[in-house]
Amino acid sequence: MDIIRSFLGKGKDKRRDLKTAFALFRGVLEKNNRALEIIADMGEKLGGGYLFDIVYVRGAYSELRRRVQESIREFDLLTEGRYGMAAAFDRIDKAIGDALFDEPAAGGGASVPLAVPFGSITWELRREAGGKNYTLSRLAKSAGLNVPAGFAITCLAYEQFMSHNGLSERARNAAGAQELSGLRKAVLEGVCPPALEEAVGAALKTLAGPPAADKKTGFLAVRSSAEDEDGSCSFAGQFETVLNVPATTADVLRAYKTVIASLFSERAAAYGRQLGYPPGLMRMSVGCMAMVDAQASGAVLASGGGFLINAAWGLGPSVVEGSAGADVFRIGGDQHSLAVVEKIPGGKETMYEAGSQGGIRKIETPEDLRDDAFCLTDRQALELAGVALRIEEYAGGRPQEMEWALGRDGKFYVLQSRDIPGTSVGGGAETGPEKAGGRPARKEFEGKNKKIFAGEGHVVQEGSVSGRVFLLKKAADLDRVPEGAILVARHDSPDYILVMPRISAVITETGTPASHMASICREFKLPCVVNVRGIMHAVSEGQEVTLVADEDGAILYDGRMLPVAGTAAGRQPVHRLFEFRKNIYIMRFISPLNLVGAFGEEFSPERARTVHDVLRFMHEKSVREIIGLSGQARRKGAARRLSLSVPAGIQVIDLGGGLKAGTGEARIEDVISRPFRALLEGMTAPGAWSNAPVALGAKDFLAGMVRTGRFTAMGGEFAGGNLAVIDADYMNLGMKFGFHFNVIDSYCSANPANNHIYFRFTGGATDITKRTRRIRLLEKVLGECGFTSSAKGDLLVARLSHLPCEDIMKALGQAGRLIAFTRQLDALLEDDSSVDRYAEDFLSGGYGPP
Amino acid sequence: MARIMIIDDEKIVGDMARMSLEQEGHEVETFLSAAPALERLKQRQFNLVVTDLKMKGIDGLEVLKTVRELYPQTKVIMITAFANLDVAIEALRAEVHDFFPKPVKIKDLKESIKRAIGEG
Repeated sequence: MDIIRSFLGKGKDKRRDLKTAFALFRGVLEKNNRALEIIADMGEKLGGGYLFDIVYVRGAYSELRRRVQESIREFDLLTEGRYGMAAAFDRIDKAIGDALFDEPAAGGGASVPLAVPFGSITWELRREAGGKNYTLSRLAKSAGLNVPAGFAITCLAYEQFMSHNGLSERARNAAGAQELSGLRKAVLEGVCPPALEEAVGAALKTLAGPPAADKKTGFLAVRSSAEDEDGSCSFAGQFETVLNVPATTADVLRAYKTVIASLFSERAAAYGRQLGYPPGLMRMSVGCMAMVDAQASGAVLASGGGFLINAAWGLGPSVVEGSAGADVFRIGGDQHSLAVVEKIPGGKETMYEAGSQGGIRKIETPEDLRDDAFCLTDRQALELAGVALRIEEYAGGRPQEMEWALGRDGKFYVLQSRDIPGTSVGGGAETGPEKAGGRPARKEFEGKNKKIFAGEGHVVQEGSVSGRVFLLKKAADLDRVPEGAILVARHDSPDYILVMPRISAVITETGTPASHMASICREFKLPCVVNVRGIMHAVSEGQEVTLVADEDGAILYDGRMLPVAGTAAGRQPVHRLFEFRKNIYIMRFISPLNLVGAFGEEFSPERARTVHDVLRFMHEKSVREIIGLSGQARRKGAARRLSLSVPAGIQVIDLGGGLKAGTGEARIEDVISRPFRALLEGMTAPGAWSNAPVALGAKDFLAGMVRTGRFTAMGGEFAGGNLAVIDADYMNLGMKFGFHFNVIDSYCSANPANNHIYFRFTGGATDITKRTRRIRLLEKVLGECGFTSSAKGDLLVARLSHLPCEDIMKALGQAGRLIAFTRQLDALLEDDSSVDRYAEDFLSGGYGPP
Repeated sequence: MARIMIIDDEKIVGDMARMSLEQEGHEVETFLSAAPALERLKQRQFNLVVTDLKMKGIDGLEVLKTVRELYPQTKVIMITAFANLDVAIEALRAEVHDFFPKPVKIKDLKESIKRAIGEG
């Protein structure tokens, strides 16, 4: 203590005393921990399993806000106000306040332009520019991919257009086919406000630039990018796209009106209705992109751990409309070597080409380009899969569906990319009650009824249902599709959204899993099989059939083998409800963590976008502040390196009575602090600390890259930076191993009422599925040791309190063993059952593999 | 499977409840205020009414009273954001099938409904 005092006392004037600094540090940590718990609780309550209302959301946020502000006050004292945290939080708080109290959320206070070049779409402008445009701008800017140059006409422009033409009120109250059609007409005939004309004119000038060999200079693709489009609802194919528009203000504005009028199409309204979107509430931004003179185009879909590429000659509509027989490439392999696993030629009878004066036209594909003449070489297919892999990495590992074009210059351009609805990081589709029709094992059906087809076609959405066949021979018959029918059609079409609420499955003769209809079927969990040759003749109108579609393929049986299937409303996951998403909208300003790397310019209060970011920043800087102060103390001998039998790299600052007197390295025998000693004994227990190298899979590789920008998954122990602050009864240990963070805070005195252990664990190098398994393992073991815990994703917070000292020490011993043991264990948790096996083995004193 | 009426002045409560309960095979109608709900009750009997306690205009207690008069056998589940009304809760217990403070765990609500319609 004398050393510390001397360090303080002689400090150049303002040097804070380490003990005061540490008290502030603890204060920041405590408030942060409380705030994180509130975030976790909000995450649970707003996760879809609870009925909640705005009163709850406001109340919970007000409590969170209070904790964060308290934490900021102490943080400012600790860091002498160097970081301007209050201003950073105020910015986020304002966005949340606006959302909570229904203020316009536009631009987060920034002034919103009517048109904005892709390169200038900031995070604050993402809603104004729409999801699709924002994603494209990020892919170009941050992921360095080829995206055609372009600009967004913002949602604000849409509002002004509607208001200028006296349509705002009408749009809000639009319901019924007649009104929708009237609105579409009014929009198409509407007049653009002069300011919008000016903004589009200016944007076109900036776009023009010098002519480039790879572009069909002077023409644009004008596409929708509605406010919510490509968020958690895809709206795939619901809105118009106008291709090959001459780059003049008049032509672009004409196309613009066509695109925004499609907000009021019947199929878009039907899609919105399924998700509870009030008609006319959605605002639309529009993207204007340089037209790629495509030799081929199509879509890439993450599928079964690899990618599925669909490719057609010419411009894009063939593939996403599902009409042309496209080539299919299946790409598999691992991070070292992607490979073409399978390729199936499509007929490619027709293709789209750009007209010389604008517009596109469908033409017969020249004979020599059909069938076996693949649109892509294997090498190109692999290059394209590489692009898809980069996008998936950039999306944090979430499987994507992407539209692409291959320019005459031989380069691939990304035209659009979105999450595959209903999937999560780790690649799996959502499972559970919302899966259509449950999943009776296919063997239950075997041998009972006659098979109409087996193994044909491509399963777009799994599920098992029975129903009566409705043969769709012409589009106009859609109106007649009865409740519960299995729709059998020649082609696929996004128009089927009109009947999706009442049908139980879709089977089509042609079509691809990359089409808009396929996207929507996945999104609504509607069982769907495409490309079943001859199905139109194999079944008859009104015939009762049972479709069994799973990962092994599809079988259609004659006759009803299952009870009546639910319709789309019953299949809807709650998460997709408009009201739900509106109410949990604030969570996007609260829980995501963007400030991940603790170094570099990116790690600054200005980059904090969420409350979680603010907390993370304060935590990191508080720890560093303490390390910095202790570094000065260490030079005076106040912090001592701990020499253990395992390479944990811990430095110790003793605030009093925690270590035996001495200088230089301390050994475990020198530790008197009761809680710290107990923890260390666990960590160094024979066999607990494994040094065996651990193999990482492809997804881990991705996950590691995504979070670090480079692959250094193992061997990343943060030697020397782990800091323990202790006294006789207290310990706070912050540890960083590779990519996970672990904080253990414990008080262990004669008075059980004051005793506690706080255990927090987050992160890891592997993909989220494995990290989540490790969290479950930790939770299970800590639970057996008496901890109560809450886990959310890869964050675990566990507590144990009000126990006598000896019980606390015993639990700390187990926690120590657990920390050592699970350090790299995530990489070994290959499946869910391994969690239980490892947990049981650990609890009986072993360290697996079981 | 039951015919269920949900009354809550926050649209999200009705929307979420409807979606969750339709998944169980129930038939659900939702209302944003009590007046139209009571009108509907005059036309059609429901097995169960889930109502918010505090609403503008007619409140949940009045809904309860009306249901009691019209259909003594119809069960009522009360939910409220203001959970500290201990006395009211106690008084309500006698009259209502169940009482939940918001946020209501949907699983608990489903189980309560099962008991109410005699399946649990």
